[in-house]
Amino acid sequence: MIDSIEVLDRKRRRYLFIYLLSFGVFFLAFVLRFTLKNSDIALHEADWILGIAFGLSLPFQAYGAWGLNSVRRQVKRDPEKYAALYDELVKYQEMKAWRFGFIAMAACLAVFCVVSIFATIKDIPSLMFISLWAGFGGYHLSFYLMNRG
Amino acid sequence: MREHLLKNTIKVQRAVKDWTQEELARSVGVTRKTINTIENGVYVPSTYLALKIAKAFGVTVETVFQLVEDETE
Repeated sequence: MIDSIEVLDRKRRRYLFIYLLSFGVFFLAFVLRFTLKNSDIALHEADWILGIAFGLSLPFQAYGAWGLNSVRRQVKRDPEKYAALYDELVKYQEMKAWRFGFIAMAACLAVFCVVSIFATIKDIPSLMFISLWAGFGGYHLSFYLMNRG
Repeated sequence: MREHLLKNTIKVQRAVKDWTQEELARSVGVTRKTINTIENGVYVPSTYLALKIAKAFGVTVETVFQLVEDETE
């Protein structure tokens, strides 16, 4: 049993890494687009950058998400394995990651709040997406780093 | 108030039983990483897991886990 749990644990980390990396590419492209659009430079190019980054990262994001889901599905049939793979350390790390994700999102909003005092932010929906994704990405990144040890 | 540290003798107990971290992990139903983090004092286990670890070794929980005063204070 333990071999398969250890294998699944490694698989989970690998899929999470792929997902994080591809999400990071997309997120950075989105931030770049937001910056370019707010600076009124290269409006058309900004959309292209995002489109290309999204197109390139989407298959990897889908692969990572599918992999994570398949690991979960595999152990769901076996309660003993499920309990071992999602043991109290993982639950503790998930809880800490939630907190980090929330702080990342709040920090992102705080930065935008300060920026909005000195400059006009035109693309408000993008700002909201960036903050939400900072929280989402922050959660996964911190979980990955804690789980990797 | 004096600070305390949770020390453990998991490594010693494993040596007595000639168990690897994987074998202990299997007997208590967690991953090897969890045992490793507990053994190195990175993670403080729940009472439930601490009791399971002690039970796996066939000793009392105090034999495996001890509160010691933090000498760095």
